[in-house]
Amino acid sequence: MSRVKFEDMINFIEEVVERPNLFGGLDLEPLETYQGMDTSLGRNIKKPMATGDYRAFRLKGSDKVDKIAYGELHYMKRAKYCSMNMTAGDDYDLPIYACEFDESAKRLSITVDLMPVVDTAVYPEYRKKYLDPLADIWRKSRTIPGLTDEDGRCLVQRRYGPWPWARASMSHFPIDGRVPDSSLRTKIFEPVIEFAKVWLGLLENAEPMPEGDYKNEVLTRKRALQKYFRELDPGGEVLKKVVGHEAERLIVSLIF
Amino acid sequence: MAWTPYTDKMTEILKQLPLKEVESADGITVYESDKAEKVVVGSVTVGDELQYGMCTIIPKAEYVLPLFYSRWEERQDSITILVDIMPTVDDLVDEPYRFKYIEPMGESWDRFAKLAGICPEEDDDLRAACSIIYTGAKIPIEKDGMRLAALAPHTDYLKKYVEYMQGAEATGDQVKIKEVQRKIAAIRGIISDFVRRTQADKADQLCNLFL
Repeated sequence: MSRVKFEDMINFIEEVVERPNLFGGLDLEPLETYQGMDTSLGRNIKKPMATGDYRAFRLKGSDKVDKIAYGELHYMKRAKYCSMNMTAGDDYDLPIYACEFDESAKRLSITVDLMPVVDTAVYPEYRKKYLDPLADIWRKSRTIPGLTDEDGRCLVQRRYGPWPWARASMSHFPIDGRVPDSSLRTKIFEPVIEFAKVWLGLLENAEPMPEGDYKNEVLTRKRALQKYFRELDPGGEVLKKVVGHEAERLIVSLIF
Repeated sequence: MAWTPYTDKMTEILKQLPLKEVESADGITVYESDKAEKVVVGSVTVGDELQYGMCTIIPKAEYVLPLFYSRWEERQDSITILVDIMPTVDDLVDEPYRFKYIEPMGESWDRFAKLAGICPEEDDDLRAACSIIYTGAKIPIEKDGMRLAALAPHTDYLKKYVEYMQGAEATGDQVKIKEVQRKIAAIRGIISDFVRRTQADKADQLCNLFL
């Protein structure tokens, strides 16, 4: 892969949120606090090693959305770490939209998925309703060079290879890997945006779950998933050094 | 066409378990075992076009073991495979189970990623039942050695599964047993549906014997 200069790296939020007007149809309002944390800590970050901006929103007048959060961190004008997360409120069983995207001079890494909040082998109706809509875009996107190598081997779900807990959180339609050719980097926008559109479409028709065993099961899995990513994500320690403990806690809670 | 000895190689490993033959017909043998409801291995051929092999081990729920599943579709120019140790609980939530049965397979999962033709299982529902360490591939057969290379993940995963089964002890935790029963039933349904979709002619026979 040819080296990419910092100034030529992808402006993730501009490309996947602003340009396609991803949230155009939604009445979003900023979240001032998230789980007791002041969200202003994530705004306009200016530290010796990094600059960045993380924002979080909720749906005005509705409990359907726990958070819609996105942001970018730029490390020492050498690399970008970007992410977007959309999590439904606890009364809803929507999967969690999660996207991590990072780019340095030599590589671009991507993970995007709708992480199920139930064991999908057990619930065929969940697969059909929430995950099957990803099938076409997954089949198309998994052929992007890097996700499928030069010998035709498709290795999605390998970026998270060293972290079994992270792989166990993913759906059976993950886009997860590294794109080696800088000229092909922009192809990755399509699944990032299309997965988000699927989630937003599901949100529109979401109905609250009744109280009971199913809801308990959903919340147990959702909490386990969030705990893993918030406590074990290998980027957490680096982030703590770069932005400080409080901002790290906030950012990790927003992006997972 | 000299087919790869899938059934013979798998049976050699299965014989490490205490097996009692229940039924044998048309190249498929069904066994009972102390910790498994069913142990089944065999293959059917369609002329010179296809050898379709399968091996399933459906554990008794009280042993809280994963379910072993192996599929072998051998043609003249390619072999499509899937082999997995499928979790019978939600292994995101049940961390000790994942540590015990799934994560130790990570080394094999990494090693077999180097196989030619490695790719995700194509069937969406079946993939949803798979663990994080399944090996799936459509291996082009460019030389004979590749047939045995394609068999290696099956024998490797099966050896490990046999060790798991030998070490398993029954639980008295009724909640866990119910969870396992529910998931085993779900996986059986998924595999049955898959067989019915892909092997219409022999679907009833295969489902009855293997599942």
